[in-house]
Amino acid sequence: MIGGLFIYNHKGEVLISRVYRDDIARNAVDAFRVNVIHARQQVRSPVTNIARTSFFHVKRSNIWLAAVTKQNVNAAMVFEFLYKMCDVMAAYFGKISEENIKNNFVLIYELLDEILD
Amino acid sequence: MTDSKYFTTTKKGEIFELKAELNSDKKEKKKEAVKKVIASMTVGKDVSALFPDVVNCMQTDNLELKKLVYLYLMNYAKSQPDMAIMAVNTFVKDCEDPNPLIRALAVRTMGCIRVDKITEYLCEPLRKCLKDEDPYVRKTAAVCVAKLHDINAQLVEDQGFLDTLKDLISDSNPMVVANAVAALSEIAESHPSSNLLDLNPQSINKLLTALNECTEWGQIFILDCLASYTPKDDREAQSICERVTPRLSHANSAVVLSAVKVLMKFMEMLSKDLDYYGTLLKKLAPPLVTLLSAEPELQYVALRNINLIVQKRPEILKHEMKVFFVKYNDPIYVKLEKLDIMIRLASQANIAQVLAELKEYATEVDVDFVRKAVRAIGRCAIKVEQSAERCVSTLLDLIQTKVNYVVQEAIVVIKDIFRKYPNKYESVIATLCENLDSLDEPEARAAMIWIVGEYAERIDNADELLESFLEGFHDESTQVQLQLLTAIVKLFLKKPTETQELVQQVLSLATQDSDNPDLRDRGYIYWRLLSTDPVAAKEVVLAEKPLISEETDLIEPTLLDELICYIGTLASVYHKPPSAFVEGGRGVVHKSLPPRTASSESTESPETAPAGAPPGEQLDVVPTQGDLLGDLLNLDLGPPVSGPPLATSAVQMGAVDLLGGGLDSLVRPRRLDIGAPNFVAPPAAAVPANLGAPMGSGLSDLFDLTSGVGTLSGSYVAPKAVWLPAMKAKGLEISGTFTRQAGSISMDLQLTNKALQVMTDFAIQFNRNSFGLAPAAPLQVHAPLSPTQTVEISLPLSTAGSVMKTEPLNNLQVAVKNNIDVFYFSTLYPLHILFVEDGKMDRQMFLATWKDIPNENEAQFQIRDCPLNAEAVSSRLQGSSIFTVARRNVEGQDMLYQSLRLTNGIWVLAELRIQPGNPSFTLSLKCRAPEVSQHVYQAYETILKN
Repeated sequence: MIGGLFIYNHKGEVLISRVYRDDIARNAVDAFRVNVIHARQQVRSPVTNIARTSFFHVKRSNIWLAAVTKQNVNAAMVFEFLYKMCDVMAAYFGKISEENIKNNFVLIYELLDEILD
Repeated sequence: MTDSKYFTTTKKGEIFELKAELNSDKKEKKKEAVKKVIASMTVGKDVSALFPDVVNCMQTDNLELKKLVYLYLMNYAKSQPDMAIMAVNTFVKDCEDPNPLIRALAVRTMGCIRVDKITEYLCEPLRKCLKDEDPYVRKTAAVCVAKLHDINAQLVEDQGFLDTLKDLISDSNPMVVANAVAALSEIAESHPSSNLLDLNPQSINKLLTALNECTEWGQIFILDCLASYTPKDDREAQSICERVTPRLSHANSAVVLSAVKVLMKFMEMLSKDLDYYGTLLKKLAPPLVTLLSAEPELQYVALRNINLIVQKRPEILKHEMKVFFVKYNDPIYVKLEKLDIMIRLASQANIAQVLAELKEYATEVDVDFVRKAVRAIGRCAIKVEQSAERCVSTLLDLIQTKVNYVVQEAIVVIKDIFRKYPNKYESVIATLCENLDSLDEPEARAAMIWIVGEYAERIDNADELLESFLEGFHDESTQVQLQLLTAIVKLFLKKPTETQELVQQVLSLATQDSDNPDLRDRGYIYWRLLSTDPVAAKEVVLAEKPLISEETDLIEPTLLDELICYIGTLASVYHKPPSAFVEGGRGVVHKSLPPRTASSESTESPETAPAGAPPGEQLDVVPTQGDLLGDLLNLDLGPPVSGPPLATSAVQMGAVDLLGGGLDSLVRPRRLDIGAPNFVAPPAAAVPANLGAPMGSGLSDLFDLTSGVGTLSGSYVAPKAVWLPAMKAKGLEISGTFTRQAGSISMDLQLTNKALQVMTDFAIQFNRNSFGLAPAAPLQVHAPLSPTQTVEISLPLSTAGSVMKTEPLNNLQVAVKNNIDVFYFSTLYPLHILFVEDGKMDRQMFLATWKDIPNENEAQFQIRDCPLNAEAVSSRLQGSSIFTVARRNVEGQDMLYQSLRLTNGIWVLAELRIQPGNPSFTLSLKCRAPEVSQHVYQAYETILKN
């Protein structure tokens, strides 16, 4: 399915990064930051294609969750997954905020391990 | 306890400190240190230097610590492959741990360590885990197989993991089934050729059962997998649809969309008269509407898909206009998509409501949205004629607002309205002219200039208006310059007396002072036209223009069909085929909707493909080969003529060799001279090695699949099969068959235009082939072929073309040209179209010839499952010019001795043994050119079984 999952704070710093496939390089993290989070115009679509890499993002308060892929994945499923991911995180440690994510990053990695192979 | 402290930056020497902590004796301290390492890893610091120290922490019974170490391993194993091997032992041990969670964790992590050296050690533990008693471990192992396949596909195949994975589809636990399906789909996607997911009614049944039991994610995988299956007939399609329909009410949007995909695809196979078809259509609307109450991102995905669905089957949502009305708090991307769908759904019934909405939107704040709304009003006018008047007055109201971008956009669409309804709304021109000065965008300026030029005779000061634009000619964009040039020429032709100076000015500006080749060319053309023949110029420039069509932004039908197969995925969001954004060979298999195959004899509309087999299996488009190309060069010179002139082209290539061998007999017509013993026996080497082998190639499959019955008069005619799918020929679809009637052969073609543009200038040419088939007349398509139109043509063929042996013998490579491009395809012709009507041999001669042909030329075949008796066989074969010379009854068996002759003079003698009550016949063929036997046998099969 997806090739990687990143969580950014509002400044575009990576809080959580998990890469599942070889085709996603570390620079994908920066591509999203530059083109979406730091983009001057308002983002016009929750799906962005940068250099043949697709980014799906949802935003909760000032936290960005981005799923990355280079394949023709099921877009609806990816978004459903991102929402569920938010729900699960909220159930474990309350509001999704930068502080909470930093405080619980080990927990998030463990969760990711369980919900996504 | 908070973990955020790990993120605080430490100074230099941090690595050193961490190293010390990692090697500490205290468990707590170790754990803290590992956490710090992971935190640095996340923010992108390189902590790979700590690899050995972290790996040392691996052997622990603390699950949390273990997980962290594994996470570290996954990240850095690649950079330290040798070190990673140290970890293998622990993995193997963990895979035998009594705790299933640890077993699963170990196997999962091993899959994520993408180091070649490690994969070998992975196999044994993985095999055990695939058969683990705990379903959680099994499902993790299933996913691991897919991961491993990605690293080393060969290894996975050699180890037989694929078979184990297939077995897991029948697992008792639905979660395991779902993951096995996901893993298999994933693998199948990267290897499109492998028939990995050999879906058949039994496995489909298993999947459908699992569908009801597994989690939402599993359901998505199973539904996506179902969508790639092609049911064998409409009954099966219907029964699958019935079992998938309940998924439409699922809360997970992805499940709903995947279910919609399966239904949309299989619906293609259902007859429209069926009650069930109507029911299904009704059932599709509510779930699609419900999707619009999901979160905005999902709404966006849903709307992009609904856009496709509305284009494919507008009837589903035609009554649901209201749900697509924009809400004030929708994100902009949702608003824009909704607007698009509103235009598509607009009809006479709902136009009043739609217009009221659109007018509202035109006063919003977001510029893009407002522009699109204004444009939408224009589109409504063009689409729904009755509303045009109201649309125009709405646009005028909007122009009165004097908001710059609204005015410009309105003028652009009014130009389109003029093109659709000429001479109807000219009264508004005055209002438009008032706003001339405020136009600053090229598109709006060009539109305005076009209007002025087009209606120059009604605008008193047209020359002044155009002159005012001319002042800054060089600063305008090309679009405006071109339009200005044309408008002034129009004006001149309408009012020649006052505007001569103006036209000269613009012509010299365009031809002498401009660097733009398009502009110069257009200038010169007008100049030449005006100077040589002003009357002709008038006819050309002021010619009546075709009306613009109502929908200009529809997706091409072939692309649309492909995208329907990708509902829910990224392709449907981008409205592009996966090949456009996926790299490499992954996922670029073209998908197409299944053709309609009826189990009952319902007659279908002609545009549905008549062949039962999925297109693309029976045909391969010929790659451009040297010798074919040579022949094709003629194509441009004019329509091909009958006769053998092609051989003159210099490209003879290797044909000489081929012809020189044992093929003389095939190529040269030879008179049969029984008494004379001077036969040259064909060299044994020329006998194809596969002679007499049971044939399983395309031809008979092709005919078995089709259920149509050929005409009984004349020789058997196979139903038309798709030879060239539209996808491979820029929208031109060709299907066809061969017929032979009263001694003449023809190729019956059906050309369908599935593109959006008109096709003209058709021509056809064959490559040299074994029997010299060539078109006997040019391909004549009398009128241009407009979009969605189909035309049937019968192309007479001669056998006087030049000859070259092809492989297989009855292969025919064809090139078809139209105004768009040249397309190549190849097809196999049934040999019986070459059987001549005077192919009955005299008894005596038959006997002599049979003895004369050497025994090694005899080939034996079995014709199975043919319920006919000897008389019926004989008369049916005679219909296709296979003649029964004699009939004998030997020991209760009917022996038919038959003869036939091919167009090039080759005789084929046959002995057909029929045992009453036994549906299998034995066919012995003797021929001096034994390579035809195989094909003659196929012809027998075809004739007898249809």
